[in-house]
Amino acid sequence: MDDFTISVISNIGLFSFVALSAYLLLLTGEISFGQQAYFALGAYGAGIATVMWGWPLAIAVVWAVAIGMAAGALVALPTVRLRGLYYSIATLAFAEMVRNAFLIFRYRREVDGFEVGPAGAEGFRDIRYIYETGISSFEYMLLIYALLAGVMLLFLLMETARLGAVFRMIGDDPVLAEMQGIDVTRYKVLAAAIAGGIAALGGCLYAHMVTYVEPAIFNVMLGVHALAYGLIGGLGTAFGPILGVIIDIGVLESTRAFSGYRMIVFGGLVAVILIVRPRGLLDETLVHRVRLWLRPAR
Amino acid sequence: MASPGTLRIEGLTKRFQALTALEDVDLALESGEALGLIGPNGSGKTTLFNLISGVYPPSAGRISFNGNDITGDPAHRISRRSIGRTFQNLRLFPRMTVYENVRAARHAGAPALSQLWVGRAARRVERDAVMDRLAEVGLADRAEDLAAELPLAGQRRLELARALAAKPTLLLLDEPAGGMTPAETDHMAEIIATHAMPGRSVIVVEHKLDMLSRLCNRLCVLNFGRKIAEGTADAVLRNPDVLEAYLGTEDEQDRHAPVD
Repeated sequence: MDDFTISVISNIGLFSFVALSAYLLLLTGEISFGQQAYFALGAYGAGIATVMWGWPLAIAVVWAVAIGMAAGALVALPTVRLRGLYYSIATLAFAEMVRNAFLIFRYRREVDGFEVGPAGAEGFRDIRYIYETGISSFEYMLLIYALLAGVMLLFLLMETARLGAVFRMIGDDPVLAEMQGIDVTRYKVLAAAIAGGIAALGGCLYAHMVTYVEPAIFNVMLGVHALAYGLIGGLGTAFGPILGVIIDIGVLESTRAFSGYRMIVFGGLVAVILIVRPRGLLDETLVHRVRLWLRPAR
Repeated sequence: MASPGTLRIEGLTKRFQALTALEDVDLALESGEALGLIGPNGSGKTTLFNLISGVYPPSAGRISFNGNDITGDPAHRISRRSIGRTFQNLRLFPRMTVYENVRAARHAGAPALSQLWVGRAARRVERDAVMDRLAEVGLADRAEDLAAELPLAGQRRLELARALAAKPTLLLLDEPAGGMTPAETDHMAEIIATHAMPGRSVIVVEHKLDMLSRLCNRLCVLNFGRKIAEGTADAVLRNPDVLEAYLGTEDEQDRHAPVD
């Protein structure tokens, strides 16, 4: 496999995390424009852990997820009662706060004779853990997909168990869900925490692949893409947002067939799909059909 | 403790800014009793249901259920106290299957993590319970269809099955036969009489008086947010205030009140 293919496949995996993060909130009926903030927190948090504190990547991954979940829950507490547009604006404002905080965040320290660490707008260089430990880019791609498989397993488990149904009930009709005895506020905080953890996991893996992050990467366009992936790919199954990422990164960006026009094509695609399939390509109805077809007749 | 299904309402008032939707209403329901609630459109029947089930808090007054004050409690807590309801303007989860809609009522109060794993035995118990409720309302063969694919009468019966799945001791039915044909209405009345009423207290809002007098021995009439009459069906329907509220005059005594 050549380097280009590996980097495309790795990128699809990485952006799937932030897409799944936005998707989980879409299921509960919330449109968050701020999932890039947790991606950033995971990237910086894990980068600091491996570069400056000398932690192994495995622990940094857990650390990133913990940061993301804590931040997700913390942001959810004041915003969870906001509805629709107000929630979207609040999440956007939070993400911009995080991005601006990283623009002035300096935490430098000498490690092995070099000064390293986040340097505000100049970014955070030399997150070289995988190169120092001799992990090849192919092996790293496998690691990304192993962790993505773990997250997907969580989603599929959720869908077959009750938790997925609870999230979908809240997304469909929060008042009705409340009347089924569900503490909607508590489940929304839970969803926000899980979503934050998933995005931060992606950010951690991203930072270690590209070795360099800067606040500009985590601007609102990343959040908009994360949302669009679910809306294009479909909200009926967790494979939906991943399909969205494959369409965008795998087809539009990597084939270069639309070079220079990628954003125009992507924007047009979002608009068309929102009109003809408002719940995305793999929507609930299609997923339901497939499920009936797969299941042996009773 | 009062016996299950006992409801006491005192001085209940709800104002929406300048509009008073419900004013100083008293109501008592004994365990196992069936009460019919009637009144012209906009008289406060659904507001009363919304207050009891905790959609919004009252402006004044008290609601107690089984001897506990539940005034102003959030809806999820009231639901866990085993008060169930259906909705005048159907409320289902349209993108979920018929089966999942009934199962929805069984999440109540379970801790979040237990929602992630349901054991095989528990799953079977759940499946049996859900299928029993569906069989009672005649929807067992539609379990795997999406709720949105059911006709209106089926959707109303599905709502009833969902409400019953939570095993309520007080059931609030808001126009359970709304928009149904006479044959469908009869079917619904029969389902309610055989499966919804035994062992629980029920309040039914309905414009179809034939159905109400079949199900309920006591009627309560609301008009402009106030209770104007209460008593046996015969007495209430002869009450001049009630006739005036519905018909304006006495000479056009249609047994059916005007439906929207």
